[in-house]
Amino acid sequence: MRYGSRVGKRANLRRWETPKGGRLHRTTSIAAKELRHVVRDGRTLFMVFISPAFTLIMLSYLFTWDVQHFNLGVLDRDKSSLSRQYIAALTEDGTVRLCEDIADDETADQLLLSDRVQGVLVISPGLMDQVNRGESGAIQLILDGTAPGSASQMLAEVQGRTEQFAATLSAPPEDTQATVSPIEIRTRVRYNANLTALHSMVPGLIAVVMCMPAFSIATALTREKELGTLEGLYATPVGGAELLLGKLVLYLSCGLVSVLPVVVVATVWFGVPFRGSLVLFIVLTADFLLGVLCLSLLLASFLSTQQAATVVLFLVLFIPSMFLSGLIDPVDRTSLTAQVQANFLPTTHYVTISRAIFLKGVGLTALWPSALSLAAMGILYLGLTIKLFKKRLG
Amino acid sequence: MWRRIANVIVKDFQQFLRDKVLLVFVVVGPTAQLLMMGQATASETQHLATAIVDQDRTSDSRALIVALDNLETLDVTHYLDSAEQIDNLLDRGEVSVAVVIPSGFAATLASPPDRATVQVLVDGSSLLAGYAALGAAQGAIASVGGEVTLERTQPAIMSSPAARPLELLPTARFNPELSHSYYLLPSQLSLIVLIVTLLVSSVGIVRERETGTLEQLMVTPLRRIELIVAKATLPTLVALVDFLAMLAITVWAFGLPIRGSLALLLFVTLVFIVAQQTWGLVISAVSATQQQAVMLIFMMGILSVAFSGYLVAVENMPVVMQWASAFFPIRYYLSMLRAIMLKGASFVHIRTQLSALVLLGAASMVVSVRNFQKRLD
Repeated sequence: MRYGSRVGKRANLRRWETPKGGRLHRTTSIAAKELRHVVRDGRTLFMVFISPAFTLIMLSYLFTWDVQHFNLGVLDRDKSSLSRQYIAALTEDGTVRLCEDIADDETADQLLLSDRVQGVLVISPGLMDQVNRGESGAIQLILDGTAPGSASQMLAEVQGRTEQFAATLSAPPEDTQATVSPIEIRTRVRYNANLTALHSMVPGLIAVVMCMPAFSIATALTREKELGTLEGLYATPVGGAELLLGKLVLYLSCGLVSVLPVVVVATVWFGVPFRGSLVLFIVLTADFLLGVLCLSLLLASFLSTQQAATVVLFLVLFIPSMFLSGLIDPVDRTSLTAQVQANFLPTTHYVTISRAIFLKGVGLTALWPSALSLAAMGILYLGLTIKLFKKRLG
Repeated sequence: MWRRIANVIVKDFQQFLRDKVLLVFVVVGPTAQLLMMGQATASETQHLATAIVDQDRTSDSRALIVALDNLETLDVTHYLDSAEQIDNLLDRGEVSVAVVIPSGFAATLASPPDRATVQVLVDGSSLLAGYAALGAAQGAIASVGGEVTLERTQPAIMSSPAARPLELLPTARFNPELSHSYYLLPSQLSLIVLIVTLLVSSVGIVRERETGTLEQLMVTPLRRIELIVAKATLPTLVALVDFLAMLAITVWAFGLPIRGSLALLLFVTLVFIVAQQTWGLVISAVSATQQQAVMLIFMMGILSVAFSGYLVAVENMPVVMQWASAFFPIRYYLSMLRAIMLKGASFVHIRTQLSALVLLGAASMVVSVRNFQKRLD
């Protein structure tokens, strides 16, 4: 009704010739319409404003590995007092858990195959005799290589404990001076002194949960195509650019509102230090949202159904964000493929920004490359989308 | 009954094949994605950028720098004149670790009782990079220190083999080189299968609800269970095709083995897809619009990454989360996928996980059929 009366009043004006105020007004009325879509349904309202914070809480509990436990199977063929002492020394603090006492090779294999243990320790018969004779006794550790990360961690744990235990066996060295390393290593871990997993992962995961508005905007645009309401809008004086900007403004604001509970969750709930400036964080979040929402709009403008838009966004945005953005593994500096993919992904830059502002407390002087990349991406994608959209309208 | 089901399936396929863009993305997208991502993440080493402040500038300090640079984990990228410059580089994230060799380093090494202090500064904001850099730098410096000790105490060390009463001989089964891609590719593959399954199934149903065509299907003689079976066929086939294409990529392009039986692998995958789809039905039952369904799938996807044990083994999670993980099919599937593909496990070895998956699928099927009924009334 409202759009209809506008058309009547300005029938003599071509779309591009409307005064500037009118364009702004049309943009805001599109934004207001989108807002009504969001607010109307309680579930959508929850998903747009609260679910990023909610998802962050759940995720953060999952992506921490401050306490590692390893399940170890032991095949003790020696069954001597030495081997028993050794096993007790390995498992005393609970990090390495003695999961199974194994009788034969067959069972050891079964345990590895069925994922019950991450490694099997094989103590060959005669270990105690060998050690008593002053020979070096060999202990075999078979690790499950299909999980290389935990295999090497487990190896390090067992190795360390074995050396400690071995030190108690050998006579104390006469010349203690000789065994002290001449180099003292003084390490300092900056920004996250104890390498607390949560402090690193929570700011990183913020970048993943803040991708959610991108999904909302893509479905909002393709939904109009699907339901045919976009055609209806074409008939009004609302131009393509105004339509897109209206949606962009609304979802950008929604994203900015939803980042506040996210920051509260990170700092209050998880106790992650916030060392930088909150204003800068919000400004750069807007910058990220601009980049990611425009990418999403660009993709959605090619697609005609919500389903297609979602599939594409998951493949282009979500899955790479988990694996390529530097959230978990650092981006490989030497691989061109990794560099190109990571740098075209808005999430990569936001992971950097979020970690830097939370933990390092740095300002724009350190973050301008990421900020600039995001802004450039946003403007480039927005320009392309508007251009493609106008074409379709014309 | 079968005719009615077949009719819906034919209709679904016609609709699916009509949307060419979606078709291309669903069929080709996952494979292309896995290929690109696999290449980007397959590298074993990390090449973390390293800054060096060498205040000594002797052959000993250079030997230490070479030892650091020779590590696969570290690449020396910056040589700095003063330690003040380090903060700036760490702040900008240009280097992950900085090593400061003090002046008089060589001289201290030459005069036995004294110890030289080498400083290692690590950027702890990125956890894995921090751990890797710390471990690598400490290891390299300690081994240089060890060599110096060896030179000082030649005679004493000659008898050192006997001074080591226990020696640990590690071997890595199934993956002797501890190649990273053995771990990553199955994770990425199963995650993509999960997302495709959820999107095609639940978004498909919600879409019918949103556009009102579901109402039309309800007035047909089609029974609920028939409708569900019919609606599940297309997503299952699509996900299976994607799975096979991605499996081919992992084997041919990335050289992963399939050590177990392919038939078992396919069977397990089919069970996974069906179990995951019933979750899709639950999502579609509680979502009024596709937008809501997508948000729920996003949350489910993100949690599935966690429960797949990609970063933390499920056994190491808080107890509540371990219980929660029991509801996520990917937890059982990924462990079976790795077991069959990489370890050559047979049915006996995976029966616990498989029965858990079947049970989960059946339970969520009951929930979703009941929910579906409620919405229909």
